[in-house]
Amino acid sequence: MHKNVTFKGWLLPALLLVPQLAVTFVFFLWPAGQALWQSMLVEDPFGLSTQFVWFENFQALFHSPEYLHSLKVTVVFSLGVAALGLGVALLLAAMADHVLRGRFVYQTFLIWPYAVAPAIAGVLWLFMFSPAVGVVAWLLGKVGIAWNHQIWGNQAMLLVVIAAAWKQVSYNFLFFLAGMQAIPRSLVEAAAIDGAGPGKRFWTIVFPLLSPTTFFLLVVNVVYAFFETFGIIDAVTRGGPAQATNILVYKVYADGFVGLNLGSSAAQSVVLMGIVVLLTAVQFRLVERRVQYG
Amino acid sequence: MAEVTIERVSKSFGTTHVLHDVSVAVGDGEMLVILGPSGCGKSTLLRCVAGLERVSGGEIRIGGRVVNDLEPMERDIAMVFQTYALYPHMSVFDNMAYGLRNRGMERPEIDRRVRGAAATLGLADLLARKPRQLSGGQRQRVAMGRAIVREPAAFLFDEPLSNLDAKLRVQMRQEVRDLQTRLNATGVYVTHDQVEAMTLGDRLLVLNAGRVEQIGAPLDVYERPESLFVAGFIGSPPMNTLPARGEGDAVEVAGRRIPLPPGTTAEPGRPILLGVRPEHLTLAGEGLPLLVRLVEALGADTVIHGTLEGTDAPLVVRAPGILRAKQGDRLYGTVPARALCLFDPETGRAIGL
Repeated sequence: MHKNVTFKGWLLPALLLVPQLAVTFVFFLWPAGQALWQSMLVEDPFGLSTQFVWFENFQALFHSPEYLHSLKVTVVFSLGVAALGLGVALLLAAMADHVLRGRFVYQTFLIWPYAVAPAIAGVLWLFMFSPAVGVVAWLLGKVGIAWNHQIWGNQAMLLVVIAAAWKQVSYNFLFFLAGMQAIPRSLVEAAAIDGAGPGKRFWTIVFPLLSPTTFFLLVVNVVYAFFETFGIIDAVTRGGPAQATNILVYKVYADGFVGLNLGSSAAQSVVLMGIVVLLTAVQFRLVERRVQYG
Repeated sequence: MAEVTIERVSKSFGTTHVLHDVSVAVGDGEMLVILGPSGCGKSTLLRCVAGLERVSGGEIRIGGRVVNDLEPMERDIAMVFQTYALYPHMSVFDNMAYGLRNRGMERPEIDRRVRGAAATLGLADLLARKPRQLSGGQRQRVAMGRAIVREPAAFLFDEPLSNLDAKLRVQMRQEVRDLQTRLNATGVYVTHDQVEAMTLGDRLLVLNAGRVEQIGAPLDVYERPESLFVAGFIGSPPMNTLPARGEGDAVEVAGRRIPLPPGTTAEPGRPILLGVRPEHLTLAGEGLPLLVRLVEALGADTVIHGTLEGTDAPLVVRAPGILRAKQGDRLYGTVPARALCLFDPETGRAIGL
């Protein structure tokens, strides 16, 4: 049932729209405008004067080795998070799809990590991998792997990828499981009769039919890794060691609020805003395309 | 092609017993139709043969080989599903070739078989299409093609025509039968549709609540039902069953004597249910009195619903041609002795004819 409510006059509808418009303006349009404006300003070190410099901040940004490094780190980080998050979730969903007894319990517990705040998730993993007191670090030491993510950049990257992916696995798991349960049982049975073993059935029938879900989740996961992992980075590595985990979002914060280089920080925000717009467009196209089978 | 033997097969899901002691042998090149109401276990029986379900007891042999513990792929069978179960992301060609590729067949041989089957089924121009671009009937053909190219020991059909509209179903029914005889294929065909059951099979197995009611040639099952269930399930409208009493070489129904065929007797005084097909009643000036309740004029014939006068037993007559009758009329029908069936009201089984 779809009902169109029609109003007489314009006053009431306008009044009803005002709260939402106000929220959008105060928390989105105004800050975005500020960021755009500030990205074209340069302040002196004491904050006494500002100068309008057009696109010099951006120019400086893309000539800065630190920024390009951060971009590379972000790409590695988000691909790592997406790959690990999707891979583990797919495996768990494939297994949960076969469980008959107690499946509800499994599914519920597998969803829990999603409710954990990013900073808390970061701290949890930090404790386990802490070189001084962490149980995992200790176990790794036992098997001859020296773990110290405060010194080695690769280990730090691995740790934040694991922590970030762990949180996202729940979300991916839900979508994969729903996708798998939407595949008619008879398709898998027909494949079994057609001589495909369990592995082959998965890769030639189930996985291709999940491809719309997988692609959707890939975009969602990249967006997540780009923008929602600030808490994890801040709690676990603070972008270190030696910028090894300094992803773009963290760099905005570090340069702007810690380093107080407001012009450059604003320019970085604008770049990120551009990336969000791009990814959102991709996602919208995806939802609209609605791949249908059957 | 090979024979399929089902021996004393039972199947339970937890405490629910779905199949009890089912035994039947399907000969080489024979088509067995399994007919029964929904929930009678007919699909479960087929899935046990396919290997999609494990039997709880008994033995299934395909081509003399016990297959109880074999995976579906090792049983050398092909199955056509009610929902077609075509792989939606593959073209028609790939759908048919999938099973052959999985078995490591050479490309030229795959190509030859798929194109051969496609030509047989009239799919030659559709090989590049995806299933969603096909009509219901075409999808059904692809599903059959996928089974044919495998050249399996036996074909299993799980209500393959029930998703088609009525007209297409008639056409596909003939095609299935035609194909099966041409390939001389061993087949097991599950359906709840009587017409399919009567026309498709060499033999018919009627299943009720997981038990075999009767196995036989379709016409034998129709003419000589071995139980009240079969009498009531096969035929439209179903067989009349009238309360009667034995009188030696005749039975007494509503105060009238109906002679039994020569050589048949019914103990005097024994309660009996007399089975008469609606089309075996001939309207005449004498015989069983019928009070008309409803007349269905179908053109080719007329179905008259009523009750046997003096009882409340329903009585249906199918008379050829157009017959003018109305509610409240009294008609009389005679039955030839050879068309009579006798049932024991206690056990529901047929009495020795």
